[in-house]
Amino acid sequence: MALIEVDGVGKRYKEDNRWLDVLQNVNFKVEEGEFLAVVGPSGCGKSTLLRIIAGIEQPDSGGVEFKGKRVEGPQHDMTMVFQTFALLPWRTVLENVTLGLEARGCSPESCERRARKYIKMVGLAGFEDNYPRELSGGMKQRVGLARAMAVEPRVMLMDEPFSSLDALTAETLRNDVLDIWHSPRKPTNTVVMITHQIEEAVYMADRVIVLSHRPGRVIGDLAIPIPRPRKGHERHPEFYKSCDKIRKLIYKK
Amino acid sequence: MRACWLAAAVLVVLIFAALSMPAISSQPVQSAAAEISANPQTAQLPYFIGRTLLRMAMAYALAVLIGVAWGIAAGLSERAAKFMIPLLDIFQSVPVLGYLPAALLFFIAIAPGEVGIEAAAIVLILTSEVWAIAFGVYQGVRSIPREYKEAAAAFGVRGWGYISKVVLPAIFPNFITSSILAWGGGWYFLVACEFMTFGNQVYALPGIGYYLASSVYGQAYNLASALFGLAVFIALVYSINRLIWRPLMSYADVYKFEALAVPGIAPPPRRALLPGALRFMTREEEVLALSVAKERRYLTRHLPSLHLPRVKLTRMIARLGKLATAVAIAASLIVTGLVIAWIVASLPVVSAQLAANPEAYSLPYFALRSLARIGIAFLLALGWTLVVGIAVARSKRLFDALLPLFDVAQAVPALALFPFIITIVINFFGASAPGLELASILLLMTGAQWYLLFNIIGAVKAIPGDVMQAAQAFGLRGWAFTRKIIIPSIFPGIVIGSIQAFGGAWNASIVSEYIYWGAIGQPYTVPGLGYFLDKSAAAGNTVLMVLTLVIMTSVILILNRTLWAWLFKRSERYKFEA
Repeated sequence: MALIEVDGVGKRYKEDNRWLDVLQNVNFKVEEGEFLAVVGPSGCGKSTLLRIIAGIEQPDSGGVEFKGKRVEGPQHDMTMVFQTFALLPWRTVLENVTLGLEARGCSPESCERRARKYIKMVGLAGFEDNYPRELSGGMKQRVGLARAMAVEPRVMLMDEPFSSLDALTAETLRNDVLDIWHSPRKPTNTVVMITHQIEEAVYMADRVIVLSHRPGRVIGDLAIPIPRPRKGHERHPEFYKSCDKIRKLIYKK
Repeated sequence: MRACWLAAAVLVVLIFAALSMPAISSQPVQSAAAEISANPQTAQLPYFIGRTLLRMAMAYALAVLIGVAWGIAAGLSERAAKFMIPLLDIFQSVPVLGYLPAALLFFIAIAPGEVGIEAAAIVLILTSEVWAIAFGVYQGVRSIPREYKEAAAAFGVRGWGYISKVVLPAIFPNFITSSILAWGGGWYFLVACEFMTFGNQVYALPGIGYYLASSVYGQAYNLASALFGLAVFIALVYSINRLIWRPLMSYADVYKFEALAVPGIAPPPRRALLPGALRFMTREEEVLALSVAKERRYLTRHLPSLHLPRVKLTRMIARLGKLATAVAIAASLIVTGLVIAWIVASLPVVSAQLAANPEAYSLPYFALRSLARIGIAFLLALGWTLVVGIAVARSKRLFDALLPLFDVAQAVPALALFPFIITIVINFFGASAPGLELASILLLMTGAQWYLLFNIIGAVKAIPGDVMQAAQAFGLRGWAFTRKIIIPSIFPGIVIGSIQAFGGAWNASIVSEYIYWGAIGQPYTVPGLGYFLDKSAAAGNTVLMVLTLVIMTSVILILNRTLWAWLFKRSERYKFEA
């Protein structure tokens, strides 16, 4: 049984008094241990799809099953990394990371111990008592990652995690995320990442789901046969092949 | 739909008031109609409405002239801003109503009769409106994106061209938003200005506020007329909002700069004073590019014939600006000098007056009483607005259902409710000290609570969606969600709302501590600064009036510089980054 099953998900919004189909009959599965990327042009409902998987939004048709159970609200075993980081400005780095742990009711000491461990893992040791406004964009997203990992979820959902960073920062952070993914100490063994960057999806994921322009439908599902660890594999022949395939799928009509 | 709400709101007030008046509820309904038509002033209502509107329009027009000029000057010149903005800050924190008796006596001395009262009313209303407009315009000028200034400079748009083609269109949305605030505030003072009583002396101006107030406070107590007047008043305020302000507000959208479009990133919401003011002070790039291009074509075609006068004009404006700055500085120095001289000269007079009126020695005690009453009213208002505001902002159903109601309720000038609140409270608790205190606190709340409510709703609505979703995704819900996410997120909004609410409460305190009741021929009073001010005005004692005003203004300024400045500074760290 797959860990996550997206089963005929559809979603529509009302805009200026007419209905707009955002997602239409989206079907795919996510296996345990997989790094899955969902790629699509802007406005194809990728982020909506991720929020439906997370249980933050409800689909209008179809549904999502997680561990064999229908998702009807926020899930204990899934966390999320946001494009805009979504950090609380009045909390320090450490307090931002403990946010998710507090809701799970762990003791303050073990909360803090765990938070410090993951702050160190994302390379922010020494910044525990800084406020988000004192950090650069890349550092803020590291806090976002630490916060998501600290709850040690089975699934980590990432919503365009590198899109609001400049190109160089994004590249560094992508490699750091892959380093964590390849290390035996990783807290999470399943990732669903949304992106509009084809190269990013191919570089990082085991499998790429391609969504069409609005309304978003699945128009491609490719395994990426590039060996891991991936660092420096942007020159692998399979890298270009996969990117071309996805590009053709998106632009073909 | 909204009309239904309006009718419902009026009906609720009617029923409530009728129930609280045993004398009325025992009478058949038709007697209310008879009572209204028996009031000789009812026939004059159309004239009253016309006079009220004229008064409001004149005050507003003057406020716009002064406010826009002030705001643009302060926004364009750093040097001018250095003294214009602190001045603005002081003036807007002073309770305008406190100066009403002084202004009235002053204008009546110049032009006795209705002309003097009218002038005092217009100056008072204008003073209450001008700061909001000046501040809104100033912020509009300051938030013109740097790229637009650079583009204008690169295309050679300078001086008056820059003001007319860039500044004026750019401040339009801010100007409308602050005009709505100013106009709404103006209604409040209108009621106070149209019917003033000091002791048993009545100063009245024909108007809807006069009709309403005289029905209750006048010799013949006529509650039916008062309710009828209130309904007419609400309809008037509400229809002006619908017919003039709302269309202007949506028209202003054209003039908004679009936030820089980073693909896929939703523009961050800005914090604002009111939900209606949640705006990006931005305007479409194309509009400006077009107008700048047009300007450039025009300039190149008509060069040099047109370029030279333009440069001259620019220099002239610059020189005028310098002259105005110099005049303003000189004027403020002279005024300061005069005030100091006057204080020194009047010291013996003041001590003589103090000796003659030993009650003036209780002024510090009065200040504390007023402050305590305002504090209690503020806490009560904060309590209910926090609960209701958060609930309303978070539930779409509640928001859609209740917002029109708040919209109407907010349109009721709080002062117009005073007669009804007092009638109800005194009916239940009698004219004893606790009853009067309660009435006074309720009156203060009407002047304070809407600022809190609308700031809280606006702040909850402005919490970034991602932050809310993050909290949800991490499993925060219920009280923990409110305590850890909502309250800190809206803290800046609460502080701004509190500052405004305190300002509103100070104004209300002046008219809520001393209410002259014509039908019983004596005032209801509770001890406080407003009481002493009105009492001194009734006695025509200018020295004591000024003394009270100085004490009140100092208390307010001290509070602003300490408590509110501290809270405001603290609230900075709770703001989401733009």
